[in-house]
Amino acid sequence: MILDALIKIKNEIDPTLTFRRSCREGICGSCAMNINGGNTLACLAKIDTNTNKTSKIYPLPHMYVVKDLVPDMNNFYAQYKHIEPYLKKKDVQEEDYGKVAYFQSPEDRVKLDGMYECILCACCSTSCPSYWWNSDKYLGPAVIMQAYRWIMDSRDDFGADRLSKMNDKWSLYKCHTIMNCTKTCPKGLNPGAAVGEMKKLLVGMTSSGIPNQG
Amino acid sequence: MSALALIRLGSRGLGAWSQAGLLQKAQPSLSALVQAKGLKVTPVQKGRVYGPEADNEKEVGTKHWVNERVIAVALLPIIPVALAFPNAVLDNVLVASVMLHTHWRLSGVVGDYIHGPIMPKICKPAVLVVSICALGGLLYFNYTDIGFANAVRMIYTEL
Repeated sequence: MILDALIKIKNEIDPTLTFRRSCREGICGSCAMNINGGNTLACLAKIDTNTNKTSKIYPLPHMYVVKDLVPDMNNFYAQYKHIEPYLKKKDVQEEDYGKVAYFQSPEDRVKLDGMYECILCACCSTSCPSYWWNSDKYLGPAVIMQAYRWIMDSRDDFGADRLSKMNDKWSLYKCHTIMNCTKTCPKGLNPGAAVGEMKKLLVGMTSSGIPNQG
Repeated sequence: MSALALIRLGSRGLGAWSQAGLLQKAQPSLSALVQAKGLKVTPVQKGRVYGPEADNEKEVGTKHWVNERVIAVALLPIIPVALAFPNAVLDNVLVASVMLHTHWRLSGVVGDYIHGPIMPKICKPAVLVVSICALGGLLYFNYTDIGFANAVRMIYTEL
């Protein structure tokens, strides 16, 4: 994998080479970078067997770069925080947290498939031209999919509020359905469908999660 | 229980410890560190906002999006019908809907690509002016000349 090559370069050739990595098996999302023109995880990207060819590795596109392959993720995380990615209940006091388990029917649980697997590596958001030009106001596919994930959660009581928070000119509607997000996702998820489903909800239609799961 | 309290103190009490002066020497401030080592730290971008709430851009997006879709879908029958049966009413409907569609999309292009404190304020009204002029011109052409549909047909038959 490309990540092994990067580690070898850092160990043996250039110890100043800087990149993020942690799990080396595609579950942490740290080593997201642009490899041979596409955003993916270095730990899941195979090294070209044709060693005559050069592999080009860049940091995630259109991000502020801290050093080498390390992009500044502050804006991305702030946007994730903006959608409040945690369970919110009405009429539950803080001292009662954790006292009751909130059960979910298998049918409701299935609605989260294709969304909870997201590891927030930011490959999709940083492959999105709309996000390149307007990352200050447009939330980007990864964060939109997580917003939709919490809207679809049967245990959450603030779905309508979450939805109305997306109803402005920029947050959601700057998506131009380019679908780079779905094409590039190293986990094989479909953030583009989440945007579509969210639009369905906003015009008053029903939605039952990302289509064609499993 | 006391061990648990100690662990919690260890994980969250660092700030309190350094405030008490215990870790003052071991924990120089970030800015001092940056100066001493000559490090370059990415500055916080001025004018960067996190999400649209901070931007006073709160406006209802769904209504506009639906309008855009309605016009876009309506153009599918309007264009062939207007070209197949040239008449004054259909000419004006075609011109108006095409210009509305074009104006919205051009505004979208400006929103995507024109950034900065001044340029959007010039470009957004400019798009509106261009759209109004184009619509006025096309309506004028419809009233005083052969009409839009006939003109398009002429491109394919006379030229």
